[in-house]
Amino acid sequence: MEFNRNQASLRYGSRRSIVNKAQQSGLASPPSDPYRAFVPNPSRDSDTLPQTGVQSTDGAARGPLDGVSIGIKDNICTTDFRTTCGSPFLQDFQSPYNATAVKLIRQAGGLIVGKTNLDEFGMGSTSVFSTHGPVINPVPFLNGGSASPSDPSLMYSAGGSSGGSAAAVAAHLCDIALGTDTGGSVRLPASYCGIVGFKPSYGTISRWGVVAFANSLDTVGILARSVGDTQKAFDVLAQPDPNDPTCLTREHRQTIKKLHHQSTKLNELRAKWTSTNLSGCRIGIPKEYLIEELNENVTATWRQGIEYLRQLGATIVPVSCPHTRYALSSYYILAPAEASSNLARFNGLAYGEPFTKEMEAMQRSDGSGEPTLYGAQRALGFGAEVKRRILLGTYVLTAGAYRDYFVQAQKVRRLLKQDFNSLFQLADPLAILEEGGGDAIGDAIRRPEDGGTRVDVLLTPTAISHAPTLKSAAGALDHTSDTDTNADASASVSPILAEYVNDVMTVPASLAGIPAISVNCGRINVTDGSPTEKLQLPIGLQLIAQYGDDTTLLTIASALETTFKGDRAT
Amino acid sequence: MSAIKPLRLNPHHLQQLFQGRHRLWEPVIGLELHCQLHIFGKLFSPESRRTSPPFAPNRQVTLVDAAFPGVLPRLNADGLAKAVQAVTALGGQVQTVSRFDRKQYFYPDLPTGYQITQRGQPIGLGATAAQLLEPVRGIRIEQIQLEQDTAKSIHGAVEGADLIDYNRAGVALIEIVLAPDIRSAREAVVVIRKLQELLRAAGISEARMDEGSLRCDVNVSEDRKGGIRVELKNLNSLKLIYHAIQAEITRHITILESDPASAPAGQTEQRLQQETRGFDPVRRSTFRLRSKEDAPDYRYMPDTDVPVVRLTPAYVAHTTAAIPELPDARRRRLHTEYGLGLADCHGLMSQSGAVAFFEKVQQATQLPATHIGLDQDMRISFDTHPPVSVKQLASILTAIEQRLISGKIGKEILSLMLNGDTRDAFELIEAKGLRQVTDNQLIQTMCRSVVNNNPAELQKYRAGKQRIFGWFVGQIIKETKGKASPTLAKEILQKYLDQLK
Repeated sequence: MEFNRNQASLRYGSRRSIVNKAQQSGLASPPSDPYRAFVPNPSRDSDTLPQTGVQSTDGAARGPLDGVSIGIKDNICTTDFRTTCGSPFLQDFQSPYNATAVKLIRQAGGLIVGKTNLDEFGMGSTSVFSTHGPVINPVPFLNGGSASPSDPSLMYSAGGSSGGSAAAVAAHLCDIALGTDTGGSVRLPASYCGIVGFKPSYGTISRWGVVAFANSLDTVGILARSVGDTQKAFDVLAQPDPNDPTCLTREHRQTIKKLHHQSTKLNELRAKWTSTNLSGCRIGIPKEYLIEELNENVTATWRQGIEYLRQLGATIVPVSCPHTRYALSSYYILAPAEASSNLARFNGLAYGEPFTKEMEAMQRSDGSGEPTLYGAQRALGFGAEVKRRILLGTYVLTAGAYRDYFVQAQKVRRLLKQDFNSLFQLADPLAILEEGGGDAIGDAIRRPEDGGTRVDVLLTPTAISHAPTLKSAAGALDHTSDTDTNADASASVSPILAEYVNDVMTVPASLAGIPAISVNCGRINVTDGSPTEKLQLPIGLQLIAQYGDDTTLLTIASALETTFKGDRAT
Repeated sequence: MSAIKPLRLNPHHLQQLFQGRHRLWEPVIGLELHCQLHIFGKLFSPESRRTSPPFAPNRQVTLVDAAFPGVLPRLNADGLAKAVQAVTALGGQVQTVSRFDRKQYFYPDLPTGYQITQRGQPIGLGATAAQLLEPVRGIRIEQIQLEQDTAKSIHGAVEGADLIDYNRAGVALIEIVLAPDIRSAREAVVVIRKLQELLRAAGISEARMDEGSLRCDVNVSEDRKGGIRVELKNLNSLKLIYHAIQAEITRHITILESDPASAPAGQTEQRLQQETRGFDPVRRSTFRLRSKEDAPDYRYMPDTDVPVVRLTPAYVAHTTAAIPELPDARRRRLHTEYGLGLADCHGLMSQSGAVAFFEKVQQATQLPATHIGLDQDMRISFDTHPPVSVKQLASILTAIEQRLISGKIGKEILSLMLNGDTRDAFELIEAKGLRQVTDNQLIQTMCRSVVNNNPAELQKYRAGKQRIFGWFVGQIIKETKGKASPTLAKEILQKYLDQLK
């Protein structure tokens, strides 16, 4: 166990004082949380906080996360804190139940210290689209950096949408944080904040209590400062849950394990892998990820990662995922479509603020009488990015557009999955489960053991560059409120599109439902032409594995992490 | 389950043609029926408590029913089983792979903003014609789908407010879509009644229109090709359905036969168009609810929270084996095995457990079917509270068969038994001296005295009034306090009267 219980409780104590101070001063953001990593929680009495974890008084560990301080992304339901999703709509929403992930953490002894800030409902890549204000990347201010984030030139985005979780972990405000990853929302902020961000296979961690953004893509993810910590949280969270019909049952998990362990040769080989030895491991480098937009320093780090893994005994295999180029556009059809549906329940009647005053004001100002109930509520209750995606999603589902957009995007999604299936040593266990068989079809999916061109994992960058400045990230926010700048927008790439491009490396694994992890691989020079030229910001590399092969992924991630840490040490 | 009204199937009066000014019109009618499944729990919240009739408003609502943020639907296994049974019972094809879709629209009684239903790949498709109007002809079933009910909106109960009762939100429904094979309002009513009878008999749904566990939308057009289809909604009784269809058919034909040039300008009511209409029972006419232009785009999309339903042959076999005998089959069997007529079949089938009781009695007596009419108003369940034992009833029938008693005495004995006497017929006959008088000599004497003491009646009889014969028989039986065998009395009386000629 890497965590020091005393330290954890100290941090816990300080978190509580943060909350107290916030309550006393009425500040939007507590002074000890200058990054807006956490969501202020004014509605709760701080006396209720000690109930959030099973605190051990006798020193005996009660669970694998005993005393570990944990932040929960604010789109995951908790009874001890309100669950705002970063939205004006849910600014006072108090969930009557805990998400399964939250329940499991508490059972394992974890101390839930607060709810972390995010892009509204998880929609965004920079954590600026939050009613609580943008999350500030803590990296420039840590380890002897500037004491407090007062210098605007040092303001960088923490990435999104789990930016608060990433910032909180990076700034040691908590040990581990839960995020959600729909198209890269855990991996991207992990890369920007220099930590580990893990998106497990879809269906491994229960989504019960996770406020849906795009339910066929949403996964609960883990942000931590090491792969080891990530693994510990994963072991606690990867449990079946009857409340989530998309969560793998115990039987499913056993069948997948069996299917993945059919090759004795591969089992023996993999059993030897450690963080310092990957002999026989085959790592695929998909050429489609080497895109024009990729920062050259990121490319250099990617090369470095390849070299390190080769030194650990891995074989590097150039591979191709031909449909990757269609992934981003497909993602931005499917995810908004599902979002438009999932967010339909927020109408100001059952959930959300009724916005009575604002609606009265609207009536008075335009004099046209009663505004349309739902229209007005939703216009007031959602932020700009959420509204943009709802409109996009609503459009692609209309009778006239469904076939040309939604159906095509679904096809791309299947082709992407086939791309990945053709690359991995292990067959896709879900295809077998869908056929309803275990043993009977087992033989049919056994892969040739000579390897051929098949690989264990893929190595790609997590993001095309380091974190963008908060100013450029907020550009998308400003752009939103300014509706008359279409002429300017046509001149250069729209800041909104630029933000969507951030997800290009992460959405393929999301669409395929397969596990992916971002591991910090050092820092690169900031190259945005700002006065902070000397500043270095972290970047991560991403490892992607076959469905259900999360354990192998974590082993190789640990090796990658070790080599880069060793690099920094020397 | 309430009693089912008897069906009087008259094959000649169901189809209806309407005589217009220039030609005959044939209405084309399709039905969409929504039936609440008779199960514990709701379709996607199996633990949601549900009683019938429902509780006070908004008491049977779980987090899932109320669409709390972060909740997920969990398919109710009982709901799935009932749907599979319904598909089979209606003669449809159970689909081994079915999926759920979201139908999206904004309305306060739809807490999620979408209804989970089955559009593209439903649980049942009607490949074969279900014999709904047997023996007239089959009404095809196009599709049977599982879906959620909405909450219930209550308008006008409280001034200035619309009330919503979420008890109904998420209740399991099947929607049965019938092909437009119905040709008259009467036929529509018969089809719905037969469906009600079948759904109740199979334990699938209570199918009560008054309580809303059966709701029906009707499509009406004239002529099979190119007719303009109008949907009638919010019809919550068979009577309303009947009159709404009649009114709509009349409206269609009137418009179709009128000269479009003579229609007053701007009167869109005079134009036939695809739309949704309601029915005003006071004015006996339909009115527009929504035109085609206002029809919402439901933005259907797959629901990926609910996994694809894959049914194994073993599951389907096991589930459908539990379907009880269905009404048409049962009627056919009662007729062929016991020679019962349609009215007797209905009498038996309208009371729970009566058929099983009847068959037990039949087995006990090993006699050809004998009919003892039970009081139709007796609200008893032969399942749980049979009024007499199988043995008792069998003993009466046997005694009648053995000519120990007449049918009339049989009914008296039954009456004693119904009042709590637990003895069988033979014991009661002995104890009460009810044995039938089969003494020829005695009956001959009585014949003679009855006839001779009533010369006026004899006169009438001779004048051709056959009815007097029955009166004489009645007098003889009365003399013996009912114990005289009517058969014997008739036989002897006939002989005596013949002699007198």
